[in-house]
Parts: sequence; C-alpha cells; structure tokens
Amino acid sequence: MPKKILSLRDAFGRSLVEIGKINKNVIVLDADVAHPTRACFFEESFPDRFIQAGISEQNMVSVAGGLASCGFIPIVVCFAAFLVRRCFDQIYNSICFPNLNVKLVGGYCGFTTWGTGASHQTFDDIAIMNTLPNIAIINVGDPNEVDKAMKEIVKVEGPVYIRIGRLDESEPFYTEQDTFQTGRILNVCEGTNAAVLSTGIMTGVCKKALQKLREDGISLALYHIPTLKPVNTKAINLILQDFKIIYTVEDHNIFGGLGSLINDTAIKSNTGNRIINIGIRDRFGKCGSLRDLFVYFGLSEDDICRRVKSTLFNDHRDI
Amino acid sequence: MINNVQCGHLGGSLSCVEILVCLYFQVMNIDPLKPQWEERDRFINSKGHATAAYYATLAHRGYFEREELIGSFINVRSHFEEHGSVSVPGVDISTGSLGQGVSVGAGMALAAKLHKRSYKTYVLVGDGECQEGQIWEAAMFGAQYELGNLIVIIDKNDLQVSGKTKDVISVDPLAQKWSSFKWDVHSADGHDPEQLLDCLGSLSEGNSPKVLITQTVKGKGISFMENNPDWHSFKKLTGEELKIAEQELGIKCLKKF
Repeated sequence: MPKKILSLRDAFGRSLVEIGKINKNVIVLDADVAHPTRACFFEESFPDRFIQAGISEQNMVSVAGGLASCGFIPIVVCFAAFLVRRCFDQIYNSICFPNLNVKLVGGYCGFTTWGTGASHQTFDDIAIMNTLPNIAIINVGDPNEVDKAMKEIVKVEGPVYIRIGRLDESEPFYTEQDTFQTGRILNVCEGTNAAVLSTGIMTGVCKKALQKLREDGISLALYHIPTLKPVNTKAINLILQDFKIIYTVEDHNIFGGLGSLINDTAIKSNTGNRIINIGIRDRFGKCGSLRDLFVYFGLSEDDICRRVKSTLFNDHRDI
Repeated sequence: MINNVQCGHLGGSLSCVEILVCLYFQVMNIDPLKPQWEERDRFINSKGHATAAYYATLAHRGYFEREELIGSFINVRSHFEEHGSVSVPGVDISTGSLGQGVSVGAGMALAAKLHKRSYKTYVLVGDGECQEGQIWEAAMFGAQYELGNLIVIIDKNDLQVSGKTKDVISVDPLAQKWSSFKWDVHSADGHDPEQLLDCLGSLSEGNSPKVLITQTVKGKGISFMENNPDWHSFKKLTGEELKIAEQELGIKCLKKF
C-alpha cells in the first residue's frame, strides 16, 4: 500500500483487488454504488467475480448468504444506511443466524456521506449490528488500517460488519509496523491526564486535537478501538484502571455505540471512572460540507479540545 | 408431532407434502448420509413455517430418526426449531422470515454456475409469500443472471393467516407475473405426484430460471382443515377431530417418545 493514499475508500478499493488476487473464493456484490464505494476497482480486475445486484439491497444480502453457503466469501459493499437499516432482517436471517462467512462493508457511514443528509447517514449502525449474535463489528479510520483489516477479516471465518467512512483526506495514525487483529486496541499517543478512546475516523481527528492540547500543557493518551464487537474487555479494563478520566469519541449516536460499550464495561468492572461521551447526541443527520458537519455535531478538533478543557480539571457535569 | 407439542403450522404443511415427497424421493440428487456433499441439489423451504412436512420428509428420507424428531420437535433442548435452522441435518439454510428464500437460492444457483457444478437449487415458496417485495427483486436477479439451475415451486393454496390471498392482497395473475419477469412458467396439481414428477422431470436445460406454480389445498387430507385458514397455525384438536384426522390420513398418531 503506497503511503500517499489518504482516501479510505481508495485504500479499500485497492485492498479488494489485492485480496481478489490472493483468494479466488472472494466475490464482491454491489447495489449500484460501486463507483462511490470503490468496489469498482475489483469489478475492473475481476469482472467474473463481481455481482451487480442493482438497487435491491435486500436481495443482494440474501444472495450473499446463498453464495457463502456454497463456499464463496462474499464481500457485500453498500452504503451503510441501506445495508444496515434496510437489510437488518436479511442480515439476521440469511447471514448471522446460519453463521455464514459474509463480509458486509458499510461505506459512507456516519455523516461522511456529507452532502446527502439524514436518509443516507448512519449514527445507528453500530448499535443495530451489536444486537446480532455471531457478527464482528469493525470501525476503521486510517487507509493503512483499511487495507490490513480487510485482509485480516477475509482470513477469519464468520460474518463481519466493517464500517468505512467516506473520508478522502484522512489523518493517518497507523504506522507500517501496526498490524490489524480483531480485538486489538491501538495506543496512538501516550499521555497522563486522561485517556481518549476513539473509533473509526474520529481517531485521526482526536490525534490532531491532542497535539493542540499538548501545546496547552494537557497530556492525554489516545487509544483507537476498531473492534466494537467482540469487545476486548480485558484491554479496556487495563485502560480504565490506568486513567480516572475517560473520553469516548465517535461519529455515531452516543447511545449504543463506543460510548455505551465503554460505560457498560466500566460499570461491570466497577472501576469508578468519570466518563465523558463525545458523539452524536441522539439526532438525525444533516447535510452540509464535511468540515461544517464536524462542527455542527460538535466533533471537530476544536470542539474536542473545548470539551476536554471544560471537563478535565473540574467535576462539573458535562453537558 | 404437531399435536404432541400443541404448536406448529398444519394447513401450510399439508399443502406441500406431495411436493416435498416428490423432490426428496425422486427428483433431487442427494445423499442423506452426506448432508454436506458439495454436489448435492439444494432445497430451501422459504415458506419456513411448513417445517412439520419438511422435517417429516427429511426423517423419512433418512437424515435423522423419526423418533428423534417426534420426541423433540420444538423442544428447547433440540435443534428442531419451528422454523428450520441449519443445525438440522439436511437443512441447507434457515428460514422463517418470508421472502428471502428465492434470493438465497439465487445465491446458491449462482455459486453452482461460477463453480461450474451441475447441482440444481429448489425453493418452495408460498403464494401469500409472493406479497413480499424481495421475491420480485430475486425474480429480476434470477433472470438477469440466467439462473436456469434455479427452480422455484409455488405452493398456491390460496390462503394466508387472515383469509383468502385474493382478499388480503391479491398476487394474481401469478403465472403472468413470473412470465413477465422472464421466468419459464409451468403449472401442475400440487397433490398429483405424477403431474409433479412429469413437470419437474421435463424442465428445460435453458438459461431461464423456472417456476412451477402448483395448485394446492391448504390442510389437504383432513376434511375439516381443508381450505380453512383457521388451521394456518396450531389450533387445538379435539379428541373427535384427532380421530377423524387419523382415519382420513390412514395413520395412527405417534405419541411423544
């Protein structure tokens, strides 16, 4: 993977091609969005293993179940909104209950489909998929990570939902040495005052926010948590023990996403942390430029800095 | 078996018995001793509630013991769920949520084509189930990918939970609908094994997917259940009703082991 790629979807498309070369059982399904998701890279290289299902996502997901039951490794690529919200029952019945080896790729997740508004945006996909037994949920945020995660999930048997934002100028936080393994948590920055736990594209934003905070003498550790199911409770507990104050950051509803998972873990482990959940506060999406949407939802680097400064050294309730 | 546990779907099971028997005992290339054999013909019971007939057929065909089935149907500790799941030997895919079977079958049929294997995929669909939009997504997909190895059999018993299909949301004219979706359409009496076998044995090898619309009677074989939507799902049988059912079917119900 050349270092210069900053686009997550370009990294995904290139990764698909490399996977297709190595594994002849990989077959890609699309619902008329191959160009925006970059599944078209695979179509160009392997037209015989590219299935255009048209604008019929429900059929596509069930077809993938049938293909998997006959030995293929289907990679279903779609906008997350139409994959998760529209096809939940098909994912439940045609894939997860029979535990079939289908990889579901939710592109344009969160508000990264910035121009399209609520119908296309997903602040609910992690919460929805988390209720399904058998499936793993991966939320990536760095082009290198996209490539490594895709190659890893194809090797592991079973259903996976991987969330890949449309972020064409990402802030990389992966090094060449970093490897992807389901459940592994990446320690992006060391710090002492508190820990930030983030997922997906928010880790790049947090990394920049933490650099700014450091200039103001605030030292935060940053942990990237790509695997939201199964949760690596052991590793999270170690972080919860090391840091009294925890920030969770996600481009997803704070109900049912990373924040909820961390709150849940802390309560079960009785670690007594103060946890501040930064994410979408139970709202529908909105269209606007990507830059404006980060600000609109309070998820820009400046917003994160502000939330940290207003909460770190006082015990006032965070609102 | 249904009467033992007081749960299950009688009417829609009785309407597809001959179809299942013809498939499993004559038409399909299968080996009950090797339920995962890669070259086997596939079967999807898309009208997933018809498990009583489906499981009974699998048991008689030798996938598992009849006594095991009768003793543990819908038992929480057994794998005989009321809607079929893949943990039961011979069940190729779990079903129960209507409308997904033709799509899954299309995936299996497509896999056969891509793997250059000769097996066929059969999908049993209810006529009421054709109200599901996904059926028609799958119909378009099957024609587009020229899945001549995909055979959908419609158990057209004209009834669904709320009454006559034509009064709920009419699916007619079914033959014209499938035909306009570019499928080869055939029809047969779903309770006449000779007709069924003739039809299933003479399907063309062409690239069009096939649909066989079978006219059936819900609750077939038990007079007071026939054409009566009240027997879609379980209704308690009185002693007298059980006796009539046994007489008319010419069987003696096995008690739970």
